[in-house]
Amino acid sequence: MATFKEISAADIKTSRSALNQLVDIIQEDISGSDTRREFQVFVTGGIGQGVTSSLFQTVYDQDHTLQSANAVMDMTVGLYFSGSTVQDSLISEDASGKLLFPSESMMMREKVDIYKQFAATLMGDSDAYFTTPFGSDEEDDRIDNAFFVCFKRLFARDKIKRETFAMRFYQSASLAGNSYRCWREQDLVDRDLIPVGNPELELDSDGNHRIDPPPYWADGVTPNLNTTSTGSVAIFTDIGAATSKRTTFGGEVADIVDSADTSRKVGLLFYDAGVAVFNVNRMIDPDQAVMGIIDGMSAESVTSIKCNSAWISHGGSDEPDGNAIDSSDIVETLMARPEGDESSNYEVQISNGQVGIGYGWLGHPVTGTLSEYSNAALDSNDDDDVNPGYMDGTGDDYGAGNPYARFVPDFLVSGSIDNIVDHFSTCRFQSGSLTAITFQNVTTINSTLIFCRATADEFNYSANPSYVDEENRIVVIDEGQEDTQRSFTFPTTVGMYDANDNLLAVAKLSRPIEKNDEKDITIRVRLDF
Amino acid sequence: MGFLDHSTNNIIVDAVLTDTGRAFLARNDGSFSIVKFALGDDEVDYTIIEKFGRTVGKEKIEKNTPIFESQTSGNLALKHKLVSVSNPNLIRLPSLALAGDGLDSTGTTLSMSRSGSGSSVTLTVTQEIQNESTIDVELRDQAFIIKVPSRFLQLRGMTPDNVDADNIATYIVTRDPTTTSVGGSRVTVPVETKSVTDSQFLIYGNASDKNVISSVISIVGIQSGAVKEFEVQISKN
Repeated sequence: MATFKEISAADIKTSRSALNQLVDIIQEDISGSDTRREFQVFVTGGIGQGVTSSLFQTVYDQDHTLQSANAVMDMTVGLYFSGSTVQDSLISEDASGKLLFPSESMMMREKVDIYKQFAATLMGDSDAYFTTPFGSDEEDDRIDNAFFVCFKRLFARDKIKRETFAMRFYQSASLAGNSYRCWREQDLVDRDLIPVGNPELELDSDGNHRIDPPPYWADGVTPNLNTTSTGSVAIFTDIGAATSKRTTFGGEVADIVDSADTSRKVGLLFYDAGVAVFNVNRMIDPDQAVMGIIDGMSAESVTSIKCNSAWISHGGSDEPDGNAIDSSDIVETLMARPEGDESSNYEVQISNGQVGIGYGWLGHPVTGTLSEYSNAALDSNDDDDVNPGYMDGTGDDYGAGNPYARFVPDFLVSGSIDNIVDHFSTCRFQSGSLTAITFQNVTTINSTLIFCRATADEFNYSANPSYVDEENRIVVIDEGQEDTQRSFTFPTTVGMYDANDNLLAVAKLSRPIEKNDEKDITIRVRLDF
Repeated sequence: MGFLDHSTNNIIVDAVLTDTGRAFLARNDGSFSIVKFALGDDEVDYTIIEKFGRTVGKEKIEKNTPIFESQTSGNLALKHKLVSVSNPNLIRLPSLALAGDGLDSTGTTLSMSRSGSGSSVTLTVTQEIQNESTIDVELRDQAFIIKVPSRFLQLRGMTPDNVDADNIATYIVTRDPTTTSVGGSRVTVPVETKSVTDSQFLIYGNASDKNVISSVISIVGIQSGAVKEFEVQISKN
């Protein structure tokens, strides 16, 4: 044939290669309400207007209501059934195996089910649990409270590339307004508060307090549940994954570590599945007091909680005993106001379908290095108290919710999945233009290489209309030079056909190349699938 | 359809599957099978050689001809093929000439009607060459690829080999038994209109006159690669 050339079997080869793309997810895409989509499929009945929540939330790369938006990742939380968070709040199982939890909890069965779902897919058994480091037998390494981040296939493609994952995360909730994280006796008198970071707050090398009497913690004076974190940033990364390759039921897996201390394992990254599993107890400060509004079964439409003062109930020379708080810890009560004036009062409105969490409980050990407790609590109704000014559970008036709440376990138990994911998204990833999560993906490309060979005597004429003049004369040969000049062409295109002359694929060269009877050319066409 | 980056000395090959290729791949019946290739030079203007001479002209073509990205439409991706002929001394190449009722004086526009005698015409395509006594044997077309808009037209008594997503029907038609005095092939193309509805005239009719639908028929000689494209105007009345 004059215009087609057969391709021999020897000229068709197959190969496989990998393509990497860098994916960058910025903070404001995760935190923004437009770019984060809720799917509120969970609905309660009961008291008040009820609670609706998603089982997961999806982050988009732009306003998710726009058709051009691409879903980037999903986020959700799960709780291990045998973990302390579930077991400590579990009342019982009914005859059909349904888990029963107290009314202060929210979506506990759903959280357990989500953990089971991930465990079934990634660990091969719905009753299995994640550990970090992966495969550890230590109970302390078990991930009881998991935060799952699932990257969409559009971005994770065939898999995530090892040692390319990094996540910027804020381990502490907001300390804004809580610059006075602790009071001393003298400070209480003077209302001069010790700022966070003061070395006096730490223990010395002998484990003794640097100041005497020791400081009393009063964290969480300002609602921190929906306030963006400003400090304690950490970079979680899968560094070391390239040299520690392990494959499990869910495919390749490696530990996610704190880049500042790579011995601190905070989660797992399943590369093939594109799923990161974080241990909430390690990625955040679990004992930090939580304070704010969450969804709850409450019919009260207007409740005002004023958090305008804190009673510091331990003082004098007696040392706190480090045990559970009781009346023996109470020596005297002192009162302080945040920043010392009435204008710093915090007032929170709670609507129908909401409850407060953490109000009234203003003190507890934060770092874990101090064993003593101060008992600072909001108690605006002293008349009926056994111990006025101190939260002893007898007639205390701290508003709705758990006054002693911490992020773990209280917030994980009482918050809906939306509440928890909202907090992580808006506070812990912060809200700016910095990169929150980055990784490279891998796309495996199967290619067919077709070698199109044109020998010296082939394809030296053209059917291009400009190739001949109106008298059918080939224009690339000068008149009068027909004896010495030969024709040539400039191919720019390769068409690949089936036996019925259907054009199945086409390839273009970036520039014309000369073809003449002294030149053979081979064009390697790569078709990717 | 942008241009390919030609800023480097490396020659980049930009390859895509055509719509037909993807459709055949989706069939999963082995119909996607590449067995042959052809080369094309659609972007090249060889009159530059006439204007600037062989040396400068070649350089201008190589360096000053931006190349379009690949098109996925199989009907548009490669129009002008390169031709292999064992005789290296050819001076002239044959072209295709069109004759038949309904053609205008330049032979570039065919007028047909939805009904009546104008709804069926017979065209003849002939290989011609000037100032030569014969057409090289290797350039004598044994068959022709004819592409017609299947919404409005069909080849009478023939079944298309393929109808693509753009409703372009492809027929492969064998040449007539007789040849011209210079050995050129002939092919008879019996074109007839389909039953085009008034609604189709409203949708596909020319903006200036909704009573006329304009479309294009393409005829390609398989051996010579010569292309003849002409416009068809189908009138409502």
